[in-house]
Amino acid sequence: MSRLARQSVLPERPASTWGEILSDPDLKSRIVMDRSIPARDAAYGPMSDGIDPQVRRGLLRHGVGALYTHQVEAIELALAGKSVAVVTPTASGKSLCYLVPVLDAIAKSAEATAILMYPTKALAQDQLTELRDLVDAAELEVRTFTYDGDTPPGVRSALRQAGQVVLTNPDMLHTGILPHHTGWARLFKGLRFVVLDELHTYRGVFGSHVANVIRRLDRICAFYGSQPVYICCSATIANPQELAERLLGRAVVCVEENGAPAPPRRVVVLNPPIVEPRLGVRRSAAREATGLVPKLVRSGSQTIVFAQTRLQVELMLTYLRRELDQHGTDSDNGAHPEVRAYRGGYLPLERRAIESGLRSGAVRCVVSTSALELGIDIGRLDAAVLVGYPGTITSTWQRLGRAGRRQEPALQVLITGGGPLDQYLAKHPEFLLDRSPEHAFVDPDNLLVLAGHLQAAVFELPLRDQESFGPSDGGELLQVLEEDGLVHHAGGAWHWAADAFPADAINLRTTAAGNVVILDTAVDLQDPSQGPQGPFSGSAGGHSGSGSRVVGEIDEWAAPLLVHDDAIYLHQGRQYHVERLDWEERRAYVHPVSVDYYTDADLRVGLQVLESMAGPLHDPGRMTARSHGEVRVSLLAAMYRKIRLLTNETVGSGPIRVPERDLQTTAYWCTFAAPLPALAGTLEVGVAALGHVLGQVACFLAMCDRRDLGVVAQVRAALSSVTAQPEPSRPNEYLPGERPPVQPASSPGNRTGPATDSPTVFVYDVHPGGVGLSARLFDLHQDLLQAAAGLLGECDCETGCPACVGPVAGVEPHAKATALALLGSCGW
Amino acid sequence: MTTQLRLRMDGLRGERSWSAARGSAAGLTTAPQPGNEEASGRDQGGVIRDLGFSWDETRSIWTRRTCSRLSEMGLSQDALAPERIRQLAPAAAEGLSGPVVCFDLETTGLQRGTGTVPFLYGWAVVSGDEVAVEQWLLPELGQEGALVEAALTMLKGAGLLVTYNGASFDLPLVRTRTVMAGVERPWPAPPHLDLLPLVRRLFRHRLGRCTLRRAEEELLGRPRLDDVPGSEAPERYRAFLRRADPAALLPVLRHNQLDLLSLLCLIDHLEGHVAVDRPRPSDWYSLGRFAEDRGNLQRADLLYQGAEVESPPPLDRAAALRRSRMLRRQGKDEEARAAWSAIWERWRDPEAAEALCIDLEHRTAELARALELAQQALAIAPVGWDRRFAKRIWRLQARLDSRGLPRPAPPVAPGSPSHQGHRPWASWLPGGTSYEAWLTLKRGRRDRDAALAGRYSAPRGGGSEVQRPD
Repeated sequence: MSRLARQSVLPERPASTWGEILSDPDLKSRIVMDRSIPARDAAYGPMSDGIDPQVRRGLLRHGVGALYTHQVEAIELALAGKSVAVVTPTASGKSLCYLVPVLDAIAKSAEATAILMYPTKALAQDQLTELRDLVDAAELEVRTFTYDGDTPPGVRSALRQAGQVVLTNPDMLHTGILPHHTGWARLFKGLRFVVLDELHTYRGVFGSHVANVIRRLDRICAFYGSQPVYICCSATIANPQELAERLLGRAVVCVEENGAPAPPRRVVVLNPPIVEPRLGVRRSAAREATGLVPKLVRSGSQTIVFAQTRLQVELMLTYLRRELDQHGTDSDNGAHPEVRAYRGGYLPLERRAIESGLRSGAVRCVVSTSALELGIDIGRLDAAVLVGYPGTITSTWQRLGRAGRRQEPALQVLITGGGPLDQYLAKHPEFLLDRSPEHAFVDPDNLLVLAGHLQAAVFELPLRDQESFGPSDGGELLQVLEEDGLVHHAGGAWHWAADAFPADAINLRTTAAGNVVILDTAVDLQDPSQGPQGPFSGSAGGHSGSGSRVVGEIDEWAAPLLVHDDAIYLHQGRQYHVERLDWEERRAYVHPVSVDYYTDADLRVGLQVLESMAGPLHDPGRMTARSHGEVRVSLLAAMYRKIRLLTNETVGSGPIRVPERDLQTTAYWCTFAAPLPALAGTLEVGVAALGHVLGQVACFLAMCDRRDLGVVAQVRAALSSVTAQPEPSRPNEYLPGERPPVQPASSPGNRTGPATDSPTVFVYDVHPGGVGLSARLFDLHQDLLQAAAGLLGECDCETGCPACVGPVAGVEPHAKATALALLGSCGW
Repeated sequence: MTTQLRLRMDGLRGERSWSAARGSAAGLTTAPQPGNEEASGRDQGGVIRDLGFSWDETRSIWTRRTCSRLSEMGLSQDALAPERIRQLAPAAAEGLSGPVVCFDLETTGLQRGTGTVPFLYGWAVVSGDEVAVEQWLLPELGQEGALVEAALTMLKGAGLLVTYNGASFDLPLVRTRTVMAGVERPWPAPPHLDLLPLVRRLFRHRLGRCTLRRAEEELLGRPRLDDVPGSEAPERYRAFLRRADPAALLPVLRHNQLDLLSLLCLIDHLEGHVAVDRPRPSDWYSLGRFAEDRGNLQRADLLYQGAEVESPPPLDRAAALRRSRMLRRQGKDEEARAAWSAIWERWRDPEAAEALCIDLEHRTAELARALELAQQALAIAPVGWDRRFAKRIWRLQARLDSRGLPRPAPPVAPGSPSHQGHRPWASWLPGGTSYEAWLTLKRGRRDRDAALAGRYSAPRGGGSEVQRPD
């Protein structure tokens, strides 16, 4: 394959040096697991005779002499017209599973077309290169292109007419292709295959949206008389078949037997040492990584470092460059262009440059967020270092899998952080190797999601009465829409009747409406003589390379935390001071500065119960009760603090002025009804601690991502609320890994309603309307409490530490005792 | 039954607006509020007849015909003669082999995509002095097949199709509906004169938003007094569908008819405008560009010269620059040089300075004078241009040094207030101004550009991208 060919020119990497680095006695004491996993041999299968000879010759020329067993199985199923989901690890040749059937169909009929869908634009761009290589090798005439937000408007109509294989993303399919399907008539008439790569990313609210986009796609295919076969590829998750069938709304055959070879790997779990024994505070994972990574880089190992947040990425970059400066001899004013950062918010050109630098070997180390977790081709790396547990086993292996493609040995390091999940892993590292990965949930029938897509569907094609879209109550929903004047019933079908474009009102990724654009005002200030209206004022767009005014973009949920007034925003290690956040216009005005601190914002979370759908069910013989229902969560970024670099001391603070936002969703909650007069003074921290613990074990037991759940703990739900580790929808983008204590929030507004009078812990689904997680927690209630009691009891610390009761309560002397007493007096 | 569902949805939505259409019905005064009374109780055919439509058996569509005369509208038949139309659109008037047909749609929305449906097809067919306005109504959503068929036939028979924004709205919409209705016929592609781009080119500086209504007011001097705005059409059609209310639709029919007839008046006005010899002061420039685009360079030259004298800034300067570029393209070097000089003298324009520098450096090899001029220009150049002059100065100095020629003294006092706030340009040249530095960096042009880019953390727009008024 092309990747193999490209990689073979890279120099040999000195594998032996890892032994030296890791056997350093200081480091060795912190290694809690060091497992060598031997290489696995490839299992090949016979290439089906059904594949067009031209494609087979092309595969040979492309360097693919034989297919792995899972590729053979998937290709044969696809050729037989069965929808299939391939579930194998990173770098197992998944793309051939769909490229072969697609090219085969086109080789046999020039009318055949295919849609290849990737979760991100970058991934589509990357796969286009691979696809074109294969097409060239097969000497086929296939018109392939990417169609996404980066496609220039001028060429779009030409592409619509010509394309046979269209690489796109769900968002573009949703707003750019489906509502304009008449322009794509040729594509839809000949549509043979629809490919969904990285299927496991389509979960939660995003997956629920995508499932509805697929429903719409199916209607349009039916209109043009085509019946495409779906081919999905996924990383290892616990329920791939269930996910695929929920997403696609049809039966899917799962291919899970992996025939690809695996390189020999050395998997290491590092637990940073305790630096404050009384509180059980450990050295931060980032600091630990700053010690290890430069050694790896200097030993010649190309290394990828995964940090948890954008902020952490930028801080790590700064620290790493400094570290390399202190020990290196070839320092070039501390620039270190061979160490780069990579994350969302960088402009496409910047990203392409880093990717190609990684492939060519010019970039020796990259610090990334989850942005590089998916299969963007950055070539083979020697070592992967994870700063903190990413939250899911699936993610962990996806990230670690960035090291060691093919047969060369690889080093995969996980440095555990201070949180309970991380510390649980440090105590039971085998968990990483044994545990089956997480479940992926979607709820395509989430009312809000469904209502939006139903409008889009009617916009695209009139919906006939006997036709169904989703669950059976579509009729009632349509009546509501008719009352709103959006649809009109005539001649046995529902027609779109409004002057509106419903797809624009739906964002597949977040519940937020728009990104905040970050603009550098220093550019304007350089030229005070020219007013913007002068005849020779330049264009303000960000298109002229280094002359760009646009620094980056940031999503609406992250913006209040990262680019509020007076924030220090970090971008590629450069500091920008935010002069003003224009919330209405979704713009943040910044200018470059050089200061010795960064800013960190606090998020306040309030919660109100709207309706209890189940419970309260009292636990027999105990003082606890569980409930499940609808809640309204209010999120408010209220203040920020300035924190000095390296020393982490707080040097100032200020308010954040952005509107509070509401999230209506489903939640599970547990009420602790024990009378606790003696504990009254410390009850608040105790409940907060308990909330933190429950939130963490909930992720274990429901096997979901930590970011899919939020937790609110209330001492008396009616009177006050305490934030406990707020986890809004996409904290990976902005929540620092180790948050300092959050102040107990003053009750935000008058939102807290009289739900209960007893201490209560709410665990809510962070997506509006929920995707089914809280109902599962309701069922797991008893296991949850048992696990929470276990986690608290087993922790080595005396009075509570970040690893058990969390960073909020970890500094309070009575948090752990109160939490345990609360559990104990309730009978747990 | 739907109330509970509605409450639940409203709650889930929180404070966010979820549907672009909510509230679109608000603010409509004359049209009735949405109601639940269905049209089914009334004879729909009767209502449509009340509006003046009759059933066309052969085409299976509802049509409404009204006739006007060009003479009544103050137009002569000559206005639509091929040789006059050719002035506006040379290509469209080729082989005029059928009647002139104006075309305008009223639709259920202004969105692109498959959810927007034309409910009224308006045509004005000119034969001799007679203008026959035909309007076709979609009686109910989902019954478009016959309408689309008939529209394709009409388009095929048109000798010249006249629209306002038809190229990007009306015609693509008809194509979309052809696919949606499952009509399989080749696209007729009649000769097409879209007046919107013409009006934009000629009058944007006067009109701002170039809507047909603005053009009527400003150009034809005819404001529409009792007309409904076109944006109300979707809501009025919905009212018609829901309540079979002819009163809601009648103003839309009238609006459509006025639009169609306006197109004819507008053609006449535009023909007169582009032939005029002494236009209004602000129109010289746009007329010059119009002439230049159509290859009438002689007329363009005259108009640009007129603009230099008559037009207010920045049109005078823009016209002068255009003229100079045009002369250079034509190879009239002497005239071009004179024009650039005049511009430099009058406006201190960086583009003129650059053109003169190129001339001095490469044609007449007067390096010292070129350097002097470049230094003057740099002192007052706006961001984007300064970088270009800095490079030029650097290169000229290197060339002078290599020949052992003296450098002219740098300008003593910069002549423009815009000089304030500028950094001294010499500090932007990496490696200083010596010949050695130049040679070192010359080896890697990319390195030098990168170095320059580094000094210029963020110039706004490159010199080649400097915007000019159209």
